[in-house]
Amino acid sequence: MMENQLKIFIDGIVNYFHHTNDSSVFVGSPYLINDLDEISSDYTGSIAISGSYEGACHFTAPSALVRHLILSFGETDTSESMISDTVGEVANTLSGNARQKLGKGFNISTPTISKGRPCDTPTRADHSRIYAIPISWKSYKAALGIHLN
Amino acid sequence: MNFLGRYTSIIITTIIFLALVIGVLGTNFYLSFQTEANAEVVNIAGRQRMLSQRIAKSLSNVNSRYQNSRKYTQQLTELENAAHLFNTTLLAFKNGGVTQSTKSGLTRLPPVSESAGIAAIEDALVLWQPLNASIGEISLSLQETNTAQNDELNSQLLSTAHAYADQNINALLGLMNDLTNHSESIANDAADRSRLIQTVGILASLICFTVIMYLILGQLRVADLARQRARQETDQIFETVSQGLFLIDREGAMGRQQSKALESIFGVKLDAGRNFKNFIAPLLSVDDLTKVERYLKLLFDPHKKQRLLVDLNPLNKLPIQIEERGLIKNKYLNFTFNRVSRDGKIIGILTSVADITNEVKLERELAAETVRNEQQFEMIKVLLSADGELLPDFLKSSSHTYEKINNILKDPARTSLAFKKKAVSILALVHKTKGESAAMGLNFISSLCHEFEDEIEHLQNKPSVSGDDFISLTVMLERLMSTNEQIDSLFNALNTPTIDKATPNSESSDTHSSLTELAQSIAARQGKKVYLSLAGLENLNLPSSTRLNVISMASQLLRNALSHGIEKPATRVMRGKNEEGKITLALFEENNHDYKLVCEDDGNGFDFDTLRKKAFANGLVSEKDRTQLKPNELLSLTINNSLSSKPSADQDAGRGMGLKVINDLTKDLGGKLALQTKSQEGSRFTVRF
Repeated sequence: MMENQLKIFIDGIVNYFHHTNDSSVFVGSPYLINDLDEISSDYTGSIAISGSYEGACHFTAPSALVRHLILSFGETDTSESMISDTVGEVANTLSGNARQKLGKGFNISTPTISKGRPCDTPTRADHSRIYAIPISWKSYKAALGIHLN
Repeated sequence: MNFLGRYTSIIITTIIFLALVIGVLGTNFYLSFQTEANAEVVNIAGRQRMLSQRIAKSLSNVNSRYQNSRKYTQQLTELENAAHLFNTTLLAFKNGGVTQSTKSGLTRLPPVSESAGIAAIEDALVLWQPLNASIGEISLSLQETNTAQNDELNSQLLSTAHAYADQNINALLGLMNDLTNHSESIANDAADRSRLIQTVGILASLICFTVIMYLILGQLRVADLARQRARQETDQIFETVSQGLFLIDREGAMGRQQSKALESIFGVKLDAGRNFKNFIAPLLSVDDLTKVERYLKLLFDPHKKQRLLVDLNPLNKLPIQIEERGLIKNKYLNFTFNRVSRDGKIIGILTSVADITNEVKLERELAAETVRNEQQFEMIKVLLSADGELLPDFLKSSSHTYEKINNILKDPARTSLAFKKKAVSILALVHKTKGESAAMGLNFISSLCHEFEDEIEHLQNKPSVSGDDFISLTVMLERLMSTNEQIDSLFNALNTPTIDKATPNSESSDTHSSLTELAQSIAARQGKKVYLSLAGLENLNLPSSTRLNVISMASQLLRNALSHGIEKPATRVMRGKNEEGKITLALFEENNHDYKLVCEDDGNGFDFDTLRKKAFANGLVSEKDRTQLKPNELLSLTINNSLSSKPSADQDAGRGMGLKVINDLTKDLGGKLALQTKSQEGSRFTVRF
C-alpha cells in the first residue's frame, strides 16, 4: 500500500519534468531520513495529506533548478515570486495527480511554499521517518520528502 | 377545531359587531323613511292652515263678486278645490287615508292617534262640516240657472257662509295650527328616537369594535410572545448546538437559519440561499457529488421510506480540509438528513453536520493500538524466550546494518548496473541480519529479511533497474527499523529480573534451543530429517558482541549444512545412510582466547561440479578454466560472487549469501575459514578465531 502511494508521487514528479524540453529526469533510490533539513533546498512546496493516511509530501529544489525549469517552459520572468509560484505549481501537480489516483479516502491540501527550511507539518509530531526520494534533472538535484502514517 | 377554540371570543364579538352595524344601518334606513313621512305629515298639516285661509278668502271673493255681479267662476273653482282638499285631508288625518301630497301625486296619511291631535281634528270637523256643507250648497246653487229667486237664495247662502266663515275661520286656523304643531312634535319625537337609537347603535358598535381590537391585539401579543419565545429558544439552540444545522429546500438552496457551529465546522460563513450542491462540490469527487444529488432527490421523493435511505447516505465520515488561520486542518464530517414535512408534503431537508474528527482519530488509534498490541504480544512471547544478554547486541548490530543499508540506498546512482550493485551490497547485509535473527529465534525479523531478499532477487532479475524500483526495499527497511525500535522499547519495558539475571545455563540453553528449533524448522520446510549435536556453545566466556557473531556464524553454518549438505531421507537411504542426517556444531577453546568453531555434516559434500557450471554460466570463468578450478579457488569464487549450488532460492538458502556472510563474520572476528569436504560423505567447516 505504502509503496503505491510513494510510486504515485514519484510518477507525478517524473511526469511533470517530462513536459519540459529536457525530459531526462532521474529518480534515485529512496532512503529514510529523520528530518526534512537533511534534504531541504532553497524552496519547498508542501502539501498535507489526510484521510486514509496522515502526512505530507514536500518537493524541495534549489532556486537554480526552478529558474531553469521556468526558462524551459518559455517563460522569461525568473523573479522570486515566479520561483515560488513554480514550486507551488509542481506541488499542485503532484497533489492533483495523487487526488485523481487515490480518490476520496486520500485528501490533499493546497500547497504551501516555504523559502529555506520548510515548516514541518503537525502530523509528523510522532517523528516518524521520512521517505526521501532524490530527483536529478539536468545537473540539478531536488528531492521529494514523503511521510505517511 | 383548535384554531376555532383559540379565536372563539374574537369570532363571537365580530359577529355581534356586524349584527350591530347591520342593525344600526337598518334602523337608520327605516327612520329616514319615517322622518320623511313625518315631515310630509307636518307639511300637509301646515297646508291645512293655508287652505283654511284660502277657503275664507275664496268665499269672500265669490260673495263679493256675486253681490257686485261680477264673474266669480275662477274664485268659485278655487273655493271648491280648496274645500275639497281641506276636507279630504282632514278626513285622512282622522281616519287614515289618501290625500294630495305636498310634492306631487298622492300620499297616504296614518290616522292621528294621539289624543291632542284627535281633539284638534274633532273640533275642526265640528267647525268645518257646516262650512263645507254651505260651500257645497253654494256650489250647486251657483251652477243652477240664474233666476231672481235663485239669486236671492244664492246671495243668502253666500252671506250666511261668509258670515260663518268670518266667525269660525280663525278658530279653524288655530285648530289646524294645533294639528301642525302636534305633527311637528310627533316628528321631532321620532327624530329624537332615531338619533338616540343611532347613537346607542354606534356606541355599541364602537364598544364591540374596541373589544374586537382588544381581543385581536391580545391574541396577536400572545402569538408574538410565543413566536418570540420560540425564536429565542431556536436562536439559543442554534447558538449552542455543537452540530451544524440548516435546511435545504426543494431547489437545493440552504436556509436562512443556520447554527453557529456550522461556521466553525467549515471555517466560513455559509450564505443563506446558496445552493448546497455548489457548496459541497469542492469537497467531493465528481462521482460522490453525483451520489449526493441522487440522494437528495430520493429524500424529496415521498414514495421512498426515509429509514431505508439512511444507509445510502454518501456523506458519511466525509474527510475535508479547511484552512484556519493559514493552517490546513483535516476534519471528518458526518452529514445526516431528515425530511421536514407539512400537511404530508416534504418541504425541506433538515441537515445536521457533526464534526467527528476526534471520533475517527480515536477509532483509528484504537484499531492501530489493537494491531500494535497484538504484534507486541507476539514479540513479547518471542522476547521472553530470547537470549536476554545477546538481544541488545543484536539490536545494536541490526540497527547498524539497517543504517548501512540506508546509506547504500542514499548513495547516488544513475545507471542500472550501479543500482544492481547496490542491491547486491544490501543483500549481504540483510542476509547477515536474517541469520542473526534466526539464531536468536526472532522469526518475525528473519521473515521480514527473507521478504527483503526476495525483493532484491526480483530486482536482480530485472533487465534494467532504476531508483524507483527500490521503493519496496525502502518501505521494508522502514518496517525493519520500526520493528527494531519496538523490540528495543519492549525489551527495556520487560527488563525484568528473569531476563536481566539470566544464568549462563539458561543462556546456553536459549542458544541451544534456538539453534535446535532453527534446524528442525529448516528440515521440516525442506522435507529432511536431522539430528543436531551441539557442544561448547554454552558458558561462552566471550564479549557479547563476539558471542553474537559466533552464534550468527553457527546459524549460517547450520543453515548451509541443512540446505546444501544433508540429503533428503530417500536419497540418504539409497546411499546406505541413516535417513536422519547428522550435524555437529561445536566450539572449542584451543588456547587462551583462541577458538575453533566446527560445523560437520554427513551429507552430500560440496557440490563443486554444480558450482563450476554456475561460475561458467555467470561468466566468472571460461569453459577451459572451469574444469581446472581447484576447490579452494572455487570456494573463493563462491564467496565473492554469491554463487549457490541450489537451482533456486528458498527461505533458507539459494542466494549464495551464506558463505559470504560466514566469510564476513570470520573476518570480523579476525579469524580464518577452512573447508574439508568429500562427495556424498559430508563437509566440515572450521573457523578459527
